[in-house]
Amino acid sequence: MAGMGIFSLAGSVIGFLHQWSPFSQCMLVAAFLSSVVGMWWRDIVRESTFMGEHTQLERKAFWVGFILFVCSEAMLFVSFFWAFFHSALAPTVEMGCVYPPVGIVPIPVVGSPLVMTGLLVGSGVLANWSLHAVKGNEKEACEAMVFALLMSCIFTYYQAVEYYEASFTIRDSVYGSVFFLTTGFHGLHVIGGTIFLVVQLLRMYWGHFSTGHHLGLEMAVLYWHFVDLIWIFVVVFIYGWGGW
Amino acid sequence: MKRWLGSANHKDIGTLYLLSGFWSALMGICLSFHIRVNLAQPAGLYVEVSQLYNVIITSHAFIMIFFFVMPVMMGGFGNWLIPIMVGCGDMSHPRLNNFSYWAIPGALFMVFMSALIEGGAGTGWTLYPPLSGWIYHSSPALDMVILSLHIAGFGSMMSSLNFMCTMITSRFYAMIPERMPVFCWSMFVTSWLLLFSLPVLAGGLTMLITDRHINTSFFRPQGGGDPLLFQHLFWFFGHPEVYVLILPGFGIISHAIIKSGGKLRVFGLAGMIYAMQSIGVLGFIVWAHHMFTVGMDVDSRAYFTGATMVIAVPTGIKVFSWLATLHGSYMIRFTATFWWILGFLCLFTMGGLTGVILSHGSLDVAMHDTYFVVGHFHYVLSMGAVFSIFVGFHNYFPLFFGVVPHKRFSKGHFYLAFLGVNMAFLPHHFLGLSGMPRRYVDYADCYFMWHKISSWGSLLGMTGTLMFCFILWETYYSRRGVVFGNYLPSMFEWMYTKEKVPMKRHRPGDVPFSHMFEIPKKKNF
Repeated sequence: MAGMGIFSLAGSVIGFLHQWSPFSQCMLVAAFLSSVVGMWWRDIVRESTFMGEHTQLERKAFWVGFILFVCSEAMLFVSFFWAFFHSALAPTVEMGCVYPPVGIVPIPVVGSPLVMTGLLVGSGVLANWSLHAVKGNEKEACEAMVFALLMSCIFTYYQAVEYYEASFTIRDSVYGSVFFLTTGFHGLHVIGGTIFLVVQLLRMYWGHFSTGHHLGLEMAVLYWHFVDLIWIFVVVFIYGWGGW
Repeated sequence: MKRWLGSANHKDIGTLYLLSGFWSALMGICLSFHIRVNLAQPAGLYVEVSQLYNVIITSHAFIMIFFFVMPVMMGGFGNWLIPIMVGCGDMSHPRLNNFSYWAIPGALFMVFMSALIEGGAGTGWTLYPPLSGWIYHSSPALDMVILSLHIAGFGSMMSSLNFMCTMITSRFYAMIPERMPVFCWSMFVTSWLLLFSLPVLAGGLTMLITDRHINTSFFRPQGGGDPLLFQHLFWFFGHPEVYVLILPGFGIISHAIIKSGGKLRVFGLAGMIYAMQSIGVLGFIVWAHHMFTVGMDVDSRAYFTGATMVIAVPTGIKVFSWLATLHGSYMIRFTATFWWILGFLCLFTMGGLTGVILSHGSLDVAMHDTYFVVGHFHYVLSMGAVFSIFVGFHNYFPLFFGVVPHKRFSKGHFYLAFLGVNMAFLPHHFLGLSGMPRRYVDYADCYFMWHKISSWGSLLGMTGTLMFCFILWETYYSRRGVVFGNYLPSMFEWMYTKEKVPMKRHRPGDVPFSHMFEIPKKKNF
């Protein structure tokens, strides 16, 4: 089902890009796909929590698999940073041999990017707090998580405002392309991570987790730290170096 | 129906991979036959429709690489053998395994459909911009190809994640890494390569799509971008990918050699494992030897030349260890498996040697994009990877399906195929050395002779493929069962069967080869 869903999503995206089919068709297929994925994970939650089918070995398999998945995600960002360095280290004549290119007014790194860094790192700290608190004090864990999520939502809001107010677009030279694609993909990962954390918050609230068995939360927090780390690279290189 | 569509059983999924891989292979070889028919004489069939010729070349490459060799070697043999060899019941993530397979048919469909839409995608499998940009390929065909690669790539990323997980967490508990069978190690390195290189390709393809559709300028000089960036991103994936195609073959060959030679284990087991690991590491740092002619500075070319030549060392270790494994064994009989092994050893070495020639930065300036390169990679793929698939077929078909291919027919098939591929691809070297460029629909009359011989060789190879189809049919029609396997206790995949072939769909509860090991005091998870 998921394979079919991905295939039809790709098909409808192509249709949209060539103006054969409306964007709503993409959304419909994406909804189908996410429902398949959602039900898959619901099954896993049921098996682990209610049926107790996850042995120590299986938990380890999930954990190792998730770490490998995060590694491959990191390589995805390597390609975006590669694009950044390729264009920023040796700016071409067309850009005026400077980076950022002539005419681009970059977003100053001291300003909203720093605030956003604070928000995301703080949110990571709170998520980690929640991970430790879940081993004894579920209420405290829930509260920490709520604040972490709040901070991540503010982060996404800041990101949206920044996109809205930026003086350049994705079409404005390779600077705009690299900026928006990298921050955009990072933003998508933030949203994905937020959803992941929301699910963990709900599961915490419903009392799914025990002191020794809260793998979902561990994975979500790991993912959140990964998103944090990528953001620090984004701030240092794309905003800092790229906007200097 | 439900069993095959929804199966999470590693043997079922392996069989599905083998089936769809076989089907793609037939499709791919038909496309290659079109290429050879066109090149059989100057001004061939497709001269008037050269875009069609380019589309055929592109589809041939995609189908052979992503839908034949990878699914058969990784998906087919990997799924079948890894859980058996490491002694666990199934993959770590069986449902993910099912998903990994079902990513393939959609992606395959999209590659096929792309050839039928508005002139198709004729960029070659490398998809270099600006040819793959909006100006030169504005048809949806190229988007189909790109997204198909995304899907197939995601599928194989998930399956490599699954393989690595299985080997890390689910080994039989006395099986320390050094004792893991060579095939498992080869699959581990393969998975490693895929997991770390595919996302980079995915990023590059995403940039290609945004360049095509939302006016970004990653690869467009007008906005300060650089088409070279795509080549870097592509080959950072592409070079590990060629090891992905051959490494599982190394594993299969090692196992087939110890079985035909009656040895307990392959010569220099640790050396073999470390050789594969070093290939896995080196594979990531040699990518720019595919781009010697793009105007890199001399220092970079010197580095990539040196690094590439270093890879010849672990590869040499493997070849010599195989020879040493064969040396002095009293059991060798010239079965079809053994013929295929010999064919692999000779021809893969030959392909490796032309590779060393090409690795040289200054020689490559002359040979870049000539038929010499085509000859080189067909020797390592069409005779390395494909021969090892046939070795795997003859070695493991009885194990998987409980029926034995006809002995004499199989050998006949080997002779046909061996003659066919050599006749088809050896002339490519001569053509390349005399200057015949790659991916051209037509050629000067002076190249006629070798092209004609190559095309006849292709016909021979095609006949061999038909004969293979007949062998496959005959195997099932005659139903020669397996009486017993001549295996030794170190061959876990055979120990597992407990003398009952084909083995059960689900594994029995105990570990059949537990007596092989001295059991360490601490559990070694």
